[in-house]
Amino acid sequence: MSTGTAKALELRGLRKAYRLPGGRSVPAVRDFSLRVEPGEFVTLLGPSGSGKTTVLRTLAGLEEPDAGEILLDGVPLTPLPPHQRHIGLVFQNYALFPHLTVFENVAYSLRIRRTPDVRIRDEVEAALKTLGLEELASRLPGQLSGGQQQRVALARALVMHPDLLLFDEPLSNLDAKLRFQVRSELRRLQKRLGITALYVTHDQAEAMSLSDRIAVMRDGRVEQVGTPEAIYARPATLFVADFIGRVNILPGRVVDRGGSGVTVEALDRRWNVAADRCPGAAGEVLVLLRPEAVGLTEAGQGDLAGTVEELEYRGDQTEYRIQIGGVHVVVVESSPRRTRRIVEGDRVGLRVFEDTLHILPAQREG
Amino acid sequence: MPILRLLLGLPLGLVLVGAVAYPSLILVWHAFTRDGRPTLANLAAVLHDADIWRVLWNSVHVSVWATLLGGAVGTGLAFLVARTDLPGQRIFRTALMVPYLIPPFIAALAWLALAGPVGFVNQLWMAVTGAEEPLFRIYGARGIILVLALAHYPLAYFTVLASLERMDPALEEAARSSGASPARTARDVTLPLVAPAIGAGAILVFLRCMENFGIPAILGFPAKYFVLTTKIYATILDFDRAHNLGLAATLSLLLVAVAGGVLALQRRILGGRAYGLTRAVGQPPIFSLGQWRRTVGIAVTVFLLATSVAPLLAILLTALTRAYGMPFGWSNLGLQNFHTLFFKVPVVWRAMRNSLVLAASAATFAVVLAILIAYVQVRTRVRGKGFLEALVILPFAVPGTVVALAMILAFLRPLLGLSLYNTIWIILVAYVARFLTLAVKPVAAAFTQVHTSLEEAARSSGASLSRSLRDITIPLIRSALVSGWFLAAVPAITELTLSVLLWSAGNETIGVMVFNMHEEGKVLLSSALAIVVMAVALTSNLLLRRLTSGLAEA
Repeated sequence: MSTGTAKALELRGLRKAYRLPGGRSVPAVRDFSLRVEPGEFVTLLGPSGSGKTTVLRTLAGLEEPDAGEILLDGVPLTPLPPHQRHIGLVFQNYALFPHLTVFENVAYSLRIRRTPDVRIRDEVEAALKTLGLEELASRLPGQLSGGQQQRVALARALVMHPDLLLFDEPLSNLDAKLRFQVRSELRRLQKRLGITALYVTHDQAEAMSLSDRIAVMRDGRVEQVGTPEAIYARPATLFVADFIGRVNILPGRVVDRGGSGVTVEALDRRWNVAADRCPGAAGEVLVLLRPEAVGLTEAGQGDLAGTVEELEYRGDQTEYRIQIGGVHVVVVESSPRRTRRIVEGDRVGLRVFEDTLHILPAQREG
Repeated sequence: MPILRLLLGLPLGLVLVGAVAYPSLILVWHAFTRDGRPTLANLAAVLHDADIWRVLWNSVHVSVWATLLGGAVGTGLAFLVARTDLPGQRIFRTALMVPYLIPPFIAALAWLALAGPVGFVNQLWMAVTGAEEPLFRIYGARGIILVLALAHYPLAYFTVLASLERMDPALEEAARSSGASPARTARDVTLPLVAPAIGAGAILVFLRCMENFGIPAILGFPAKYFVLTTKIYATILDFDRAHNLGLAATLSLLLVAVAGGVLALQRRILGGRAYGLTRAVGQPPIFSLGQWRRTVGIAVTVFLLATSVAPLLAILLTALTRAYGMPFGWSNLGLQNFHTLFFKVPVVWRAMRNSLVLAASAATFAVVLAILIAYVQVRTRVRGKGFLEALVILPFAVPGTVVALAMILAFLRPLLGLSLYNTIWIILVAYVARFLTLAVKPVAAAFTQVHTSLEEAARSSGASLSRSLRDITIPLIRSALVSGWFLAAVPAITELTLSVLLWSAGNETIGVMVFNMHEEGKVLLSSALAIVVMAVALTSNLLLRRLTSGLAEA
């Protein structure tokens, strides 16, 4: 399968509110802007109700925005009805037509466009082959497993060589193992075909592993856009820090400010934090410490000393809850290869990877 | 334990054998015997009678046309309500319930008042144009088709609407984003997916039309136009004809065969085509009617006004008319007919009391039996459960006229020293048999909801089976018992088809009263009583609706 040249997507100031029966209106998307480069894979990540699915449905033309622009390579999409947008959509529940065979499901968009039969056969066969579905062409959707249905849905979206591919939580109905497998297939396929893709999920692991960039959403707005690494290592807000991965949030105070960064006091100790990790920090701040950015050592060694209050053994990892001078810190270590096992009540030393500390202003989250 | 089993099983077996199995067998027996000897004479007489073939043709003719008409109207309205931006949706949704709640024979009387030979439409027509002939002849096939279709289209409407509302909106959205226009989506996705529901709705309408007695009786007798149900009725009452009951029994089997054949055909055609469309999340795409929105809205309003409001208004005005045949005017209106009805015709009160007592007792019996049946169905693994279920459904699945005939044949002569014929008891037995399945459904559903472990916990706490039923299960299914009671009682109150064949002097039902008054030509009184019946039907249905929705919320 080949695709045309990938297109750039631009969303500007998108707004959408739902009117409730009582006449009240509830904003779902407020002032949403995002640019997706040609061939890029961007994920909208957020909790349920953050407006991510609404953005997707607006793109597909299934919802009409109250305001804002949607441009595909500079061409406005909003005036077009869904069937003229040439956007592939993969649904959470697959939405395969139960009365049509796998072949006809995939062929549907080509039949609409009055493609000659010979070409339909070639295109559909190519799409089915890409997804390893050749054997299932004559089956009905009801006879397929969840993973197979998911692939048919993807083939149906791909066969029309869409300008844009949209995914609405496509993996959430699969079991954990299959989800992992389909996830990596999906990523390889999108890279190979080079289609611009927008993916919606509430699963941060999925977002991290699939995306070129992630847009974290909250209450209908973009909270932060960036590569998975940037979002994880340098969250712009407390919400992002808390939503992606786990984090210890420690109260701190900026005591010195230099050219290369700041010096911050937290846990009764001073830390140097690089300039790109302390946007606009001054005075009272919050110091973000990832649980895996701490290593345990013998008591008396390391940067800090604490007492193990609780531990949870998980096989590949062990999680410790450690008290350091009245503050509780969660530490996650890959299950240690050290000889002496740490038990609850032990005094331990903690080594903090200072480079990973991140600082946010101490203002309350609105 | 064995004694308890017996206690549970005995009344159940007695009722199902006495009220269902025995009458069914007797019916078949009478069809194939004369004077106690097996013979095919009845069958031969029926098959060689050109008149019977015409009646059979009439039945099929009116039912097929009413099905096409009613199916199309019901399906179209369901699409408009569920998939378009039709204005006034909520009002239409409620208004479309009304024809469903009015007993069909009352609808026939209402149409007579509107479009009968001296109904308002024809009077107006003749007055305005000076024509001697009425504009519309309601007696005969066409009138029957019209009223059958309008009385039964809600069945198609409800079936298709339910299917449309259960359909996953993502399917239609997937078609849209695959490039299909709204019209193309409707053709390629929506229509094929609701096709089984359209078929099922149509079959339902067809079967109800085939088994209907009131409409073809009221609109067919004056034109000597008979269908199977009315022919069976006439044959039963044709006492002078030799072997009339045997012939009626044979006709009944013919009617059951046609209905059963259609049902089997439906199974055959739609068997493998019911799609699991139960995952509806979110709003389905709404097809904009665009510039036609207002026009379609007005058209639906006019349709409802003309088919629901106008006939009811006509029969209400007739009921309020002081003197029949006098020119229409305010001075000729009054409550006189109702006054006559309630204060001068003592039979009316008796009939109302009979109907209410019959409905209440039948419902009570039905609910008690329903507990036993549901228990056996859900909780036990006895052999022959399928047979039990068949016996419960049978009297509701076959036409009411057939049930009535089976009752007559079974209880014409005293049975085990009991004489039911010509008493109110035969109507009660018929009602229990007929409406039992309506009570069983919610009770059986409730039994499946109450997990066995609750009963087992009671048993292991030391309670006997009957004690655990009384202490645990029945309190938990109480609301289902109440709705089962009402589901069985409500149709019994305004029942006509069974009682019109089973009544005797002193044991009239309210439906029989209306029918007899109409047959005697007492237009004003029958209209007034029809209004009363309609009021009772609407009130009891509203009560049922409020009750069941209240229970669903709780």
